[in-house]
Amino acid sequence: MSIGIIIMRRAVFLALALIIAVFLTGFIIGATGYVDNVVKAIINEEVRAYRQALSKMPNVNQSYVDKLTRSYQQMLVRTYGLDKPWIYRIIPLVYSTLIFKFGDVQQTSVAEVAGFQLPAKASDVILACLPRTIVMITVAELITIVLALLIAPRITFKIGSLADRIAVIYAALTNAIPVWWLALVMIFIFSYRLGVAPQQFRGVIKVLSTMSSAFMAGNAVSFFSSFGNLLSYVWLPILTIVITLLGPWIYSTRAMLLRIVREDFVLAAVARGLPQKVVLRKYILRPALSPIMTSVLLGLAGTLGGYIITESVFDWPGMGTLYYQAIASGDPATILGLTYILTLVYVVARFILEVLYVALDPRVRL
Amino acid sequence: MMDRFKAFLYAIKSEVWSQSSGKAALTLLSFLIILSIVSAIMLPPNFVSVWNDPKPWGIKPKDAPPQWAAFFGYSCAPHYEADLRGFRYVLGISGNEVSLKYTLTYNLNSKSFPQGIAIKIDGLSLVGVQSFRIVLNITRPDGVTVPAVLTYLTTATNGSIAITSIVLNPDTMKLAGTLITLYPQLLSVVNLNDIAMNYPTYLFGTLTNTSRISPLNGLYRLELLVIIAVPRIATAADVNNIVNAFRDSQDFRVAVIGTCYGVLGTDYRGRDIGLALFFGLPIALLIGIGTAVLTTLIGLFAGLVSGYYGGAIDESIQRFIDVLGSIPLLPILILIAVAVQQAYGANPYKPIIMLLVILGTLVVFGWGGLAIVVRSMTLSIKSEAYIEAAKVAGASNWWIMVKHIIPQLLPYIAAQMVYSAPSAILTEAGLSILGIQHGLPTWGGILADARIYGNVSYWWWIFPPGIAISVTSLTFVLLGLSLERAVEPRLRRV
Repeated sequence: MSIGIIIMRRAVFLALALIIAVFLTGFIIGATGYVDNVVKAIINEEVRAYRQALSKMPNVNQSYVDKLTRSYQQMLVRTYGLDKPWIYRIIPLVYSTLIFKFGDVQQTSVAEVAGFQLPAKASDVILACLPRTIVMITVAELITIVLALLIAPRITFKIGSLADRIAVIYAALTNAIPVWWLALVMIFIFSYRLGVAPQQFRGVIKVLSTMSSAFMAGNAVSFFSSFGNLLSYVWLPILTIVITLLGPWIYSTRAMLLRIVREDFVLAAVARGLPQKVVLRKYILRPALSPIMTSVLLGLAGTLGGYIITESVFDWPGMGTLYYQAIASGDPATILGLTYILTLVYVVARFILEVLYVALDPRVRL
Repeated sequence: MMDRFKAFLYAIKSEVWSQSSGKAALTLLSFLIILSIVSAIMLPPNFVSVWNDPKPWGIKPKDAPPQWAAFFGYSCAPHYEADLRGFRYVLGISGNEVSLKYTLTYNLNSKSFPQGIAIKIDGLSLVGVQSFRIVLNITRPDGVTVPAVLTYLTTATNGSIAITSIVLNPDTMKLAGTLITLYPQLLSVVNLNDIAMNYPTYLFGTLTNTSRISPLNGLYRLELLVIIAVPRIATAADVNNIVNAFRDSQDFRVAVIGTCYGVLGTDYRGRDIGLALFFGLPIALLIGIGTAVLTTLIGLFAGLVSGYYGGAIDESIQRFIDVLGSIPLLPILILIAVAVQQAYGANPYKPIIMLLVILGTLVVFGWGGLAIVVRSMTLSIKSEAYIEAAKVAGASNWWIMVKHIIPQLLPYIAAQMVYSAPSAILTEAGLSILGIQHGLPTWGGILADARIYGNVSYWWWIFPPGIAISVTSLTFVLLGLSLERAVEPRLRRV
């Protein structure tokens, strides 16, 4: 098979995986009757309000109120599509999500995460939350990756040394400590005991919007002053994430490099008396490039979905909190939209990697 | 097969044990397993319902740090509880009334005030009586007696009184009135409502200068009168009947609620956090080990079949893994858990169902990675000459897989299995943090409460559960590390 066909095959399967993921989500939402219960609650609430409004009118006839209320309820049931089985509601929603026509947000609490009021479009809500996750989680992941890539090669040649052992112990420790627990501890120490970090992180919404409007207006002073404000919000979450992610990142990078260090061609290079730096750069880092690229790209793609639990602990109004709020309150348009976008990002990253393998690794082309 | 497996286990054990991280891991693991067996044996059958019922915890301090916090300068008002069923009493009989008088002492020696006073009665049934009355008087160290701090009266229906479970607290407005008659000078500092809102401060405090109330240290004498009226002149049989009823009740105790409690403190309802940590251990281990074993078995089987048979089977399994891998696990898990939580809201088996569903979802989405590794290893082993030889000799596929391939995979699988345990433990605890709780007292559940009700400000509520989670997963991480080093010589020191 030629490379083109292999890549095409991968593209088809990845697209299929994407569609299945969204359908599966829709299936879980629909088949468990979870969203139906939420919609029923909404209808009951509206019917109750309607009946109350009718009863307030002067000289009402009770049987007439009943009749009106009943027809109102039937109208609502039809509008929300509750008179048909769930599949008739979910399939169109999945389909319109797949062609990027996300529905409307139904729940106030979901719109509130983005700082919006109802009515709001799911796509707008998602786009509003994305930058907040990027400034916190994607930036933290980037810092972690840079640090790990700086540290790991330095300990590769010194396996078993003190620095190496410290790195392994650190990795084991941080692998065992949940990020969200460290987040709780950091909030406890820095926000409540020392008072150097904010206790409420929702304020970042305002800071980011002033920043973007200052950027649009070209107002550099205002932009940089709100950048300082942004730092006062993000430093604690970023520090928390970097502390916990750095260990596993160093460990896995070290493992990738170690696999290559014992290869014959590296031994031969060392035996030829090449300086360690040259061996590292030309003989170890080059072949390690594709596995490292894989974890960097997939790691970064994964951050866009936010860390649901960590964001919740910080009450950070990003993608993770949005996702959780959408699930907790039962908002199908937002759930499906987020699942679609995140899976799409992941699938595209996987595809880019497939192409990159071919470009980076000549062995694949053979 | 069995002998080889035993030899493998022995080799792994000695290899792992020879490393310091392996020693630490095996020691920790056996400690955790023993502790969780003890905990599972000691777990009372109705613990979950007791845990979620506010009544049993009504006489415990709320939001209280552990007792040893006193060593670190935390001022603790002592917690005092007396089980009156076995306590000395003075019997009094007058007319148709039988009275039991209990005298207790409480020694306050602290810079802080107790949280209150309460009496708890469980499972008391009195037959052939008219009424049941309780009066608690307290004599303070300054010699003043505060009468009727806590009173309770109930009358019989059809000649009998049955109390399943109650917690009695003082009538705060009445108590405030009593305190003001005894100490009129209090009114210059506070009003009646303030005293009622915060009665322990004034019951156990004294006006030091014109505006400050500080605890009045010294011995407090609590006099508890239990008075039971019978419908006739009381006889010896009545006294015997009443005394037996109290002795046979499930619980009858009085408490001066302090500000420090237990080994690990209490939460917002006065529940002992130490208990939850202790009984949460088997659940955490079950989730970790259960998920690890099941994902490994499925991953091993799928990878083996995929690599050994190849062709369409291989292709479909690999594509299936692709799809599974593309689906964001955590959101789906949350979605399923929330849906199950709603669907089984009132079901008594909800905790078990939710736990199994969470475990199942983790397994369904967790085996892909291992299957890929197993497949590639199977592919390389399959092409070895001895497999050909075995085939020529007439060995069945099953025989080849079990005899020749699986034994070679075992070490890698063992390391992978151990590694997947901590992530399951962390994920399950993380779900609780989000408020998806199955109702069992788990470590994540305590942390979730600390966030919601404790406002992240009580250290004894945040640190112990987190450390418990971390130590448990660290055990598996260390075990994985040393297993990996045992089977992968490249990771060893040169």
